[in-house]
Amino acid sequence: MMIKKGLILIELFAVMAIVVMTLSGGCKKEDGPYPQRDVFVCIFSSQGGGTDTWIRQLSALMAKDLKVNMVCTNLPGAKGGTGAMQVWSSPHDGYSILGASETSVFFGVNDVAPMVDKWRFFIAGGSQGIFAVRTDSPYTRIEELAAQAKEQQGKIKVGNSGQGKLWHIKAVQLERARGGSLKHIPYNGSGPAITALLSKEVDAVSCSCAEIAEYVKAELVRPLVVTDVKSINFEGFGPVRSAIEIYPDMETELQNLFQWLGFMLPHDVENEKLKTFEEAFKRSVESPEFDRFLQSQMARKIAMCGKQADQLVDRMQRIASWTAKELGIARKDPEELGIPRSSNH
Amino acid sequence: MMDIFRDILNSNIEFCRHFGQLAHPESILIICLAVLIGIFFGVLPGLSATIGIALFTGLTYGMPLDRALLVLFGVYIGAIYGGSVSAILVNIPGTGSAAATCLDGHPLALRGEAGNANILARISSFIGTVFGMLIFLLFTPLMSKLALQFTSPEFFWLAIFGILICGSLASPDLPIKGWIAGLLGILMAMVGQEDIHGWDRLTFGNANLITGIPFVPMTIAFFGIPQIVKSMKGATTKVQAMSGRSRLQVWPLVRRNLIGILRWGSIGVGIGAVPGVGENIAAWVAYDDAKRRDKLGQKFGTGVYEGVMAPETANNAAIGGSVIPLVSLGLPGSPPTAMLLAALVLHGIRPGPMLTVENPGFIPRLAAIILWGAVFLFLCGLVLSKFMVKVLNVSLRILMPIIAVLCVIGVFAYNNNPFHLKLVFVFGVAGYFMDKMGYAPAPLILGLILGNLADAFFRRALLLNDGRMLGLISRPIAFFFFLACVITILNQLGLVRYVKKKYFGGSKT
Repeated sequence: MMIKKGLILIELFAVMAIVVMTLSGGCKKEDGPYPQRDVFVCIFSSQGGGTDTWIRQLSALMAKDLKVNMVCTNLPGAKGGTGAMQVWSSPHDGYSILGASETSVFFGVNDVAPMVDKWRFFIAGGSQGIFAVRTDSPYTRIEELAAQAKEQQGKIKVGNSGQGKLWHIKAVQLERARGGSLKHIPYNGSGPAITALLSKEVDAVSCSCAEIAEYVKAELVRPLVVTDVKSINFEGFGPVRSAIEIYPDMETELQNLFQWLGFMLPHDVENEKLKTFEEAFKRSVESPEFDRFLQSQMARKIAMCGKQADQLVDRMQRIASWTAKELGIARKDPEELGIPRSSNH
Repeated sequence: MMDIFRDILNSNIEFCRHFGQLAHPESILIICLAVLIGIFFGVLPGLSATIGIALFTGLTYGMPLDRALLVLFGVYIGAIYGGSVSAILVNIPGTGSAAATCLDGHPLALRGEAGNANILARISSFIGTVFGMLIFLLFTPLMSKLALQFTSPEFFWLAIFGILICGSLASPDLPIKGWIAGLLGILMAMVGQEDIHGWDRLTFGNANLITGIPFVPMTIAFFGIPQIVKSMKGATTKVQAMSGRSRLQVWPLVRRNLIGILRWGSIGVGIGAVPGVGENIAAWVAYDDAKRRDKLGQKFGTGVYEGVMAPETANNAAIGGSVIPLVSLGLPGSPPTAMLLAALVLHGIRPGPMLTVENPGFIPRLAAIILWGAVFLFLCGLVLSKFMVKVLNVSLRILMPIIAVLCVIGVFAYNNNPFHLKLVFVFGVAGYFMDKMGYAPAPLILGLILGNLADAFFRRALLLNDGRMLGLISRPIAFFFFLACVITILNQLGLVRYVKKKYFGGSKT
């Protein structure tokens, strides 16, 4: 009887082991041209935020072109490192890709995932940054908030999408330009940060224009200043000035750090696969559907991949890493990482 | 006041119109198939409502919005119910939200009442879905305002309140085993990069552990693997396929528990409506509520009907609840609704405060879709459960290896990561020995779900309050949850019973 039970257990484990081997190793081999099966898109921020929406839109367009499913999963946390490590630890076969944003240029100094030289970039576009408060806030202009921040150091709470991410850096840049002091509260993405603003947990939020456009239209949120180079006209509100108009010395900083959204693939994915992916990406971002999406997102098209994109990201990494060091939020020294200081920094 | 009533009346008229419009053969066929697929996703361990919606978000991209919504909500509703089927029949929750259903659902099946448990789960899921839909239809503006009262301290206490349920899920031989398992779950939740500053914790240099220990594979490891091994060793009682239906008067039972159902439904809607919490926690809180308030409280865990009804009502009511902040604020209430948010944006709809202004008929239309989903949940469940109970007639020697394979496939489908398969094996072995030593898996899973939430919200709340602990209880709702936590602890220590006995005439609790 005991032997029989033992044999049954061995049978059970043998069947499970075969399935595990099939799923984890057996699926590596493929015969036809890429892609042969569903592509797994790991989005490194939480559901419902800007990055999430962009990547899902792009994935849907790419799926049509590549004629396979692009299965999107959110893995937020650790400044994008959680999702990046998920893709990095999966086979580098082009079936596991990262849905990412400019946050990836901080991977090195944040010490969360391999740096930009280990990835290939497919940049679709991006939205400009905004610094906003609730409509019941006493601040109607950025100068009023700045004066208060000088008077009551560290009292004004500003939500952002994560420590060391673009919108945090933008808020810090603004804080430095004004000379006051803000209290920065990190959340897991812009969605939770905006929730915190609406629930009065924080006094202001630093995020993208697209992410708060609907709240501005509903008169729940008041935009104070655009944390990018161009002023923006918000539907239902009117024009909002760029920070450069108020603080001209911020121009260099704002010009060289901006939002972009797109895909990242490990650099050692086969060239043939990268080429196929690149062609599908170019066709997708040039489609009328994508143009309509950009319009609804108050965003601009960048449509960049290959060497051009890699160079752009490398420049951003230099600026972002050294800015992060100067701001005291870099966990690793860019010098140690071999990131050269940018000439215009 | 008159305006509010007029709005509600108009909303109801719109709802009836949409419900009638959807009574079209094509729509009915779509939602029927979607619910069936959803049940399939729910039944299979590892596959969940979120995965189902995520898959169908891509597949419905080219469809008109109405049809896409029929598919997505059908899958959502079906999957949340479907999880209970495998929880009852084989003690492996098909979805995270059905984990609490295992506790009394499977003992009922062992008693030969698998059919009864299935009927109760189906009826409770139906009632829960309809209840959630009604609240969504009538009270969306009010509920969304309430949801915004939740900030980091409230989330922290809510997570702690959930963790305290561990104490009431104690093993029969030694109550503290519930806490030990719960603390192990919390410890496991600490593995990986933390949310506030991104530092690694307990990863031992393993890059795969940076992403933390995921909850879905662990549900399979701690519920599934021990159950499969025990069944194969012949250490479990063979579940009888006999339905036992004649012994159970379903509707009198529902009538008797009407107040409870309303309470569990309210818990489901309330927790569902708080952005970022979801149906998994709703099910546990409702189960704990039923256990504490029911006369049969001590018998919970041995096969009590209310132990199936409470979590199943709450997790389905959470569907309506979690759609509330999605539609009114553009903030998803649960992981599946976060997927719905992306799906709506892809279809050109921007959920948010302007949605109801620009699209006044959207809420009634969505409510009508949810009601059709509930109707087909009931009908599909009715047809399927007869066949599903018959699965138990299959020899364990054949059935269990099939379930084991499905578990492995489910874990892989969770996010295509082979490392999770290894985790399931390692923790599955640990789970088997823990089971042998009398440690229940439920508190461990609860600790794993809530540990990270409690940690992140605690530290964020301290950051917001300059490190002052008083900031954690300075807001009314946070203070209310704090008191609820204190009372729960005192109750678990037996102090409440002692005081009642000594000062209020020894009435039994």
